[in-house]
Amino acid sequence: MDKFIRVTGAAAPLMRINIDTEVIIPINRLIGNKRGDLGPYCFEPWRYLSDGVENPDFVLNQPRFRDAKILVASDNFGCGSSREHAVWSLAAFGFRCVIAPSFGDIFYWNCFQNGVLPIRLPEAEVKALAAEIEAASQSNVTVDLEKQTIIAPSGRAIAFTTDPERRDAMLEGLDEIGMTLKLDARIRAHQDRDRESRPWIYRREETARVARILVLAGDGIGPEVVGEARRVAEWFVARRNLAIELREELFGLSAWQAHGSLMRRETWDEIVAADAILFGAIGSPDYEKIPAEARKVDQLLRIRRDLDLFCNLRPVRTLAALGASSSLRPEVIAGCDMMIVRELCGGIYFGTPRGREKIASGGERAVNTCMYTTAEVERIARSAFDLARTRSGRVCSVDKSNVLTETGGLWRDTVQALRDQHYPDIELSHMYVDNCAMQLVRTPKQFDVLVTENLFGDVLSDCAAMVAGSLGMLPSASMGPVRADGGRHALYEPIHGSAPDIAGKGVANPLGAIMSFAMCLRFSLGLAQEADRLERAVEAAIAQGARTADIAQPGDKVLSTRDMGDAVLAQLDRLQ
Amino acid sequence: MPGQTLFDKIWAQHVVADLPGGLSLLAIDRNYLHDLEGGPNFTRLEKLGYRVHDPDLTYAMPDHAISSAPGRTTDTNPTGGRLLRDMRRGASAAGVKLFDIGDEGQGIVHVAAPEMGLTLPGSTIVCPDSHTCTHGAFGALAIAIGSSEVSHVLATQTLRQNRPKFMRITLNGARARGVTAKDVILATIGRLGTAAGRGYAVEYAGALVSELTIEERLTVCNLSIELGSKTGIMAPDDTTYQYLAGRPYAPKDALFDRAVAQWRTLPSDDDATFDAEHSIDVGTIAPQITWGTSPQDVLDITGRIPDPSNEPNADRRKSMEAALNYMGLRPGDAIEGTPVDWVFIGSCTNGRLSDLREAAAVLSGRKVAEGVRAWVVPGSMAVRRAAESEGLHRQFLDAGFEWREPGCSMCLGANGDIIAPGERSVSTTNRNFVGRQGPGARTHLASPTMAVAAAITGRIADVRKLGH
Repeated sequence: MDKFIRVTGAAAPLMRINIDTEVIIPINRLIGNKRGDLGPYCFEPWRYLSDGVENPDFVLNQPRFRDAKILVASDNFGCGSSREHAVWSLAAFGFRCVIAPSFGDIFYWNCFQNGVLPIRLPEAEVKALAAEIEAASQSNVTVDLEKQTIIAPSGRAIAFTTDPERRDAMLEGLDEIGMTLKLDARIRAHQDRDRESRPWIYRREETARVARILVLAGDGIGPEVVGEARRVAEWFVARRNLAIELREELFGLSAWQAHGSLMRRETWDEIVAADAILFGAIGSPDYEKIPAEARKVDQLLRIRRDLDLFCNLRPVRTLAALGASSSLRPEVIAGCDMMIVRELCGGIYFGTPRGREKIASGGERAVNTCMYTTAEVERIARSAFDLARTRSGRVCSVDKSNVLTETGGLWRDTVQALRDQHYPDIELSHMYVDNCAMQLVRTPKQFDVLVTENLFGDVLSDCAAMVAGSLGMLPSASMGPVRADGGRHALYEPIHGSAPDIAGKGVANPLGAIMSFAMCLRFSLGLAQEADRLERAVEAAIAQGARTADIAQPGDKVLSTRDMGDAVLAQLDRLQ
Repeated sequence: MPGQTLFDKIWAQHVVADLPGGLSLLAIDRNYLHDLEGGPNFTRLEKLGYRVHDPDLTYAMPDHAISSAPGRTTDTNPTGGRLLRDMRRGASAAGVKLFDIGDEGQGIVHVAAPEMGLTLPGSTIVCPDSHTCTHGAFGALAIAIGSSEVSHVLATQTLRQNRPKFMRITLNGARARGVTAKDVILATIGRLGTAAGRGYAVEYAGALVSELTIEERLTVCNLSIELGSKTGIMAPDDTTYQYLAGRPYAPKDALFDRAVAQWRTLPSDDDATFDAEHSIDVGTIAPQITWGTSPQDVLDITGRIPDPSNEPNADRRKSMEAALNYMGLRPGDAIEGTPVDWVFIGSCTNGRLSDLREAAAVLSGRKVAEGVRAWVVPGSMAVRRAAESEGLHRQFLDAGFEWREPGCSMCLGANGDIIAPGERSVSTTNRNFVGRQGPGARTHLASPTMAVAAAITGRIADVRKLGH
């Protein structure tokens, strides 16, 4: 904000009573014009004739007042609508000061917020000043806020008063928010007391309990990468006062070694009770050593199925600094930012009948069944539409309805009907999966939110991962339906696997796991600002040149898993 | 200690600090954002490097610039679409709840927020819209703020305020047949003038207030700004608590009981004093209609258009002449019988379910007169859906009204819904300013029942002659 100490310039008299803010700036100019661009529309209804040419009779169109810095007006100036644009348009015209007997309340206080000084003077004083300006050969007036004096064209001094704090702020050009935040400790203390006496005001009061996050590191590089995500989570607890309780259970081979079971009851209870699960990876050649009976059930699939984690989100974003690590040309992938929404609990991966059987003519016959219900398609489409509303509002639905006319047809009809009935604002397009696979590597930037069924989503999301450069960077979320209590089960995991070949060496890239925790902040804890903070920290670390082996170019300094965690924590400290 | 007013009590509970120059730093309980101010303020905050202090106390919804066309999408009005996308992005990034197109809670913020149970007695409420005073109907301290103040509230959850003076307007007596809450407040503005409330917080009291439904109270408080006051307020009572019980965001069960117990302590003490007092005998009020370009330019429907030459004050005379010239009216003519081109039912003043019910009741099967275009724009999605489930929309459609999507629409034309120059409208809105409903548009403010009377007859008409 510009300081206001002493302003000298032409003063224009506009002696009409009750000039309302609609006349100062018409409502249709509020839209599509930035605050600095409103000058040409200031007093538009009077300044221009109906055909858009200047009205020569209007005071501000007269040569001596064209560059006026001071406006002299009548009673109740700036009444009517509260729009602050009225002050902006006056300021953009060039006015620094308005002198009047009285002002519209809201307008008056808005002036101080925008470096325009409103001065109240007795009516007789204002009329005399206006008359003097009209009669004088030159209309220059000086307003001195330090001395609280107006110098009229004749040299006559007129005293005025201004609220002392407003005067100080105007003299220093101070930003009010900064002034108020000096009192933030008092604001927060007030809120804490108030939360006790009037809990109903605070929406999150009932849910502001400690969120339970269960860490399941799993196999291979899982413990290494999740270990770094855990350190990041602990930073948020310590430094951002996040109410998170981190608990950990053994999962996978380590669980078998410790408990003689891949899923003991206590672990399952923790899984069900958790607000979110931070998962590492699963898979190792050593599973062969466990009796076949004990490993019959895939424990990760069981979690997905029993918690009904139907909604799988895979964000794919290109980081400029990592363009070189993709197999695609930099100009193809630059600026890409999409979210793949994959149905995770239905379709051919779960459909029955399924199986293999010997057939009389020799050999075998194998069957898998792809099946979807309207309700299953609706809930994943709803997830995609809701998400799109927080982004660009565009959704591309992918199916194979030209050949799989049954499941594909149901998919397309259901998605379209839901959009038409409940999400008319969403721009929905449909694409066949074969074309989509091509488009993902051809012009990935065309996609924003992409929604598809289980099998297609599995294939397309790995394909899309190449757009980002490395599998090691990418997070994912798998979420269940919203329960009656407002919560929903969710599991966050990097999309890379357990990578047994590099396990235990401390070289894996932890950013996929760390970014998974960012998704957890956003989707399970509702802390979008904290999620942004973490994502910015990761981007900053990359931009500063932090590289693990998987994303390093020849000649780059290669960081260990732990060093990469440190690089992110250092950026978090810096952004704090 | 002398008695405290309702306003005093809420104020005292929310003062965080006293600032130099007599200002107070007030804690804010509810920050309502709409599409004209939401996105720009999120962006400004980001540029200044501040974070949203308490995302859970801010609620956003598109209303001003969003299209009201049936079947609208985000971009039916492209500028509205840009604003909405910006607000969505900002709200999502900050963790602020946004009631979007199609949501039950979407609508004009002063209609939808009360319906969602967000507006609670004893709370401080701000919104960058002059009709924020509407929420005072619940015994809340509601303050209209400017854009910079929105950023300030987002970043600090407080507002710097000068304590206003207090005015009490006592509404006594019983309403005559055909007289609505809108007529009462229009007549009050006509008698006291649009500058009467300047610098004051206005408390409405008296026998009539306790008889009014919450929706009627909202209509009265809505027009406080047309009295010049940023804040209108009414004591909460059993009507208030019954309205709030079970609303989505209102407290529930034991917490609700605890809240009610606290709310019961809020009404002004018997020995509280006010800086100014006015009293209106409601029994003397007839159905109202405005004739000029300020809400105070208002008449009984049986009245004649005033003659500026009888006005002794020169400034006032000049402005009356300008108003009559703009409105295309002749001094001395009866206002009744003036032909109209448009009828608009909606807005934060009269876009609620009870307004639509009353309007439909007057309609009772009659048709919109030839040559008149008539719109109903429900104040919120909840109002629209409830009206549809009652079949009200059928009655409007059958009569020849257009039945549209919720928003501010033609009250101020910010979304492009405007009236052509020189055309005359009877509107249930709050402002008849020059150009408010479009350049050159001539607006007559009235109640929903009077608006229907105009729609049926094609002229400014007395609803009581239609059997109401």
